[in-house]
Amino acid sequence: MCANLLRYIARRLALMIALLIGVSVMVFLISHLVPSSPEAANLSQTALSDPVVVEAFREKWGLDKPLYVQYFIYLGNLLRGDMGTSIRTGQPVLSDLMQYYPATIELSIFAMVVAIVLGILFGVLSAVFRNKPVDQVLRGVSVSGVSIPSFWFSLLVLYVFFYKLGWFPGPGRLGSRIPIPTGGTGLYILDAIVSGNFALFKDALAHIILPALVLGFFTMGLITRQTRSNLLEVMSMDYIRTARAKGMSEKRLVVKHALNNALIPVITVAGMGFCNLLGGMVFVEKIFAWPGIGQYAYLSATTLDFPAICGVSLLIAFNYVIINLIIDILYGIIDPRIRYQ
Amino acid sequence: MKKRFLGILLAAAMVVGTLTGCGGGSNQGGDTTKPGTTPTADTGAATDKTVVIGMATDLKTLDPGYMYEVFGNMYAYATYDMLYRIEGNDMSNPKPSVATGYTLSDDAMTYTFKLRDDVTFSSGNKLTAKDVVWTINRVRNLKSNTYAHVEGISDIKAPDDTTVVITLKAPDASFITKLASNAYGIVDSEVVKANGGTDAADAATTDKGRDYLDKNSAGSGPFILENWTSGVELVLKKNPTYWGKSGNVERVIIKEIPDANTQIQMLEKGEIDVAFTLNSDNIGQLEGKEGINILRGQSAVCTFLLMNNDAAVGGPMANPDVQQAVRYALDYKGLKTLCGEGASLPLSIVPQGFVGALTRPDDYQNIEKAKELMAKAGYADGFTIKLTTANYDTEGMTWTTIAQKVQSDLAAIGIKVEIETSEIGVVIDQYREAKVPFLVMHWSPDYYEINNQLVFLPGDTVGARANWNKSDNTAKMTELGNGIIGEADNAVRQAKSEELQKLMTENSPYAFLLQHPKVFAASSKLENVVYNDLCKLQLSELNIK
Repeated sequence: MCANLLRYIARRLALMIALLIGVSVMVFLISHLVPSSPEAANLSQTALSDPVVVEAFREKWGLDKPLYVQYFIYLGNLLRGDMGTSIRTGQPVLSDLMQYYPATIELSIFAMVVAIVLGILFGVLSAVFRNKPVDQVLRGVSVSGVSIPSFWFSLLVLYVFFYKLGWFPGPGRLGSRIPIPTGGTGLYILDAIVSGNFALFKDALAHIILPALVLGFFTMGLITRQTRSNLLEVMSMDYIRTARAKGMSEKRLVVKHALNNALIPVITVAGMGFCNLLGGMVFVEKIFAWPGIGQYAYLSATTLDFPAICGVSLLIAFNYVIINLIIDILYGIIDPRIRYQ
Repeated sequence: MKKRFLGILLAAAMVVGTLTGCGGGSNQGGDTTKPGTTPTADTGAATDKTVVIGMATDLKTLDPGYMYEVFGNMYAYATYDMLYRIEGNDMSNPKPSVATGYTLSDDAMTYTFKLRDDVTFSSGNKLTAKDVVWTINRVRNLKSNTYAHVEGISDIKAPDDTTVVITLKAPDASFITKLASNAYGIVDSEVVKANGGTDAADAATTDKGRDYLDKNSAGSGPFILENWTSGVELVLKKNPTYWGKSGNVERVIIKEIPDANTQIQMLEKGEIDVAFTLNSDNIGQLEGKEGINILRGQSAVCTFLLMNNDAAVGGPMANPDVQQAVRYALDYKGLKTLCGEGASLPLSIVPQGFVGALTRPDDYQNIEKAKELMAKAGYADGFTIKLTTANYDTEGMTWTTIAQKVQSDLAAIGIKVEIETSEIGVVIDQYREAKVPFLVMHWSPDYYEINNQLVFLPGDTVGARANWNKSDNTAKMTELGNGIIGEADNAVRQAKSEELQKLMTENSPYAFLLQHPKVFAASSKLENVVYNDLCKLQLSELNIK
């Protein structure tokens, strides 16, 4: 089992490298097909009309070389761990990603906690109280989760809980007058725990709740619906009927015997939801002034910052591959009948 | 069971109570970080002399040699000195700063500046003429966005520590204005050289100074860069050794808050002191609110319509009668209303604040004359034309709104406008290649002087983008433009400027629409919140009551 699992992981990781190279080719080509140019996106109008400046810009960023040469230079650097330098920020793409990504990771984790805890809870309650008022209400909530536009929901929760009620602090990762911590992992809550700074912990936690609620709400809706339908299906199976006939309590039946089997497809939904979150959410990040990877990707795209666009794309592709791998491994843990081949 | 439920409820209430208490805490100026206990070396909480500004800046770099972004000079004015500086909102008269004055040679090409001898950089190094020379040579050789400001220099020398001699290739009456921009932000040459900076001829590819200057300021201005996290915040602290006058603000925190509504809410709740990225649509939410001042200024940014002068590209728009018919058909009064309080109507290429600027009467619209011109041009029944615009806005007014207004106005003279919207980069490329028949565009000056506006003349940068070439018909305009560039006598420049605008109003492939106002809001605890279009906010002049 263990050897099989390791072989399986090794094979998947090898495939990942091929996949990432494929992604880099695709992104490189697509971003160069856009009917605009990095010069137009990064030089002033006056500078654009000056051939000396335009030529210096093209030379500096290697844009004067043929496309395939540009790509192979990029790939060569990538294989050495160098993702290039962002045209927009002038910083190495890797350090940019390390700056913006922790904000997204932190928010995504909290959003997933909201989504999984509430999603599974609501799904179970909805299935157990099928067609009762509780079910009707929770189904309404889950439909709202998947259908309410996140930017609108962001504005709403901010208006109600920050502006009107004052229960939560405003946008940003920390209070506006507090200088951001430097050093550490960039995951403020984790850094605060590690350094034992309870004040920072409280502030960072208070700031993350509203955006996590907004982002988690969508995935929560998906998980609720998936959990409900799977649980209902499992609850109608023979082994459940047998257990019930033997006098097992309904609570034990659901928690100990039905839920495990119902959770396998839920893991896929949750995993994909997590991947989506890790890809960044531009509107929510904008409204909550959350400096995550979504904002970085958006600004990179609008300035045709090729190295940054490729860097973000590779990161997102990497997320999908890794999370899918984790999901596949979790399948085997939840259902021992599944084998790795 | 009930007890357990109550216990959970109580615990939840405590968590929420703790967190919401924390939210309130951050409103009060934040004592939530204990110095030395977080992973940072400096987590000192803000003092009561801290100003927090909510903005959506476009800063890509903090290197004054590279900056051309709209907010570049806000930072450069805070952390660097120039030979001459804009003070307050008087854009037309830069005042001596590090330079105490200058003499100009008879041929109006050689400027000799005398420098103060009491200016030190934040590093402790003394600012001398060699730093000025090194700074300018670096910018000349970086050949970046700031190049236009230094392109006219043929030679620069430092005969002694307090004298700088700059020789131009040709007389340029806008030179002192150019000096007052970030391109001439004097850097500590020893520090920047030690950190990879170079002024060598190949600096465009070999200079590494930007990496350093993005993380540290190397100037002698009123503030020192404390921290910049791109897209998150910019923190400046007071320079204790600053030689000039500045307000009582100890620290400025510029928070990147892209959404205007978020800024409004944060200003009202006291989380920020200035909400800058507002416009005439959303400023109404703050009107009459206690403790908040609404402030207005004037930007130099103008929006205009470009009508391609090449019939192969512009079709009917290339016809001068059609171009004038378009100018007559537009409802300028309506455009002003749409743009909001403070908007003005430039007659032509020269915005208010520049020498000789003229405005268009609100009632310029004349549909009858427009129809006559259309008939004269052979388009009595009108025609259909594509109007290109971008997903972009000027001071909060979207270009799509402008395009829709133009569409509705031109329908009155039979021109059926089909709006095509693209991303700004795509539109700029088409515009640069002179491929667009009819376009909504804006012009934001690189420096605040009429010379910069002469790019609209036939054959010049923007003229070429409209395929408007020099000809006998445009000879007078070219002559006036050339006369303005090097003319030292302001009265003569004014007369030429006015004549040029009057000529171009009815004889050019442009219809100038609006000069946009700037509106923002600040806490009433702040004084001297000065807006000028170059620096946006004069951070050094801010004061806390």
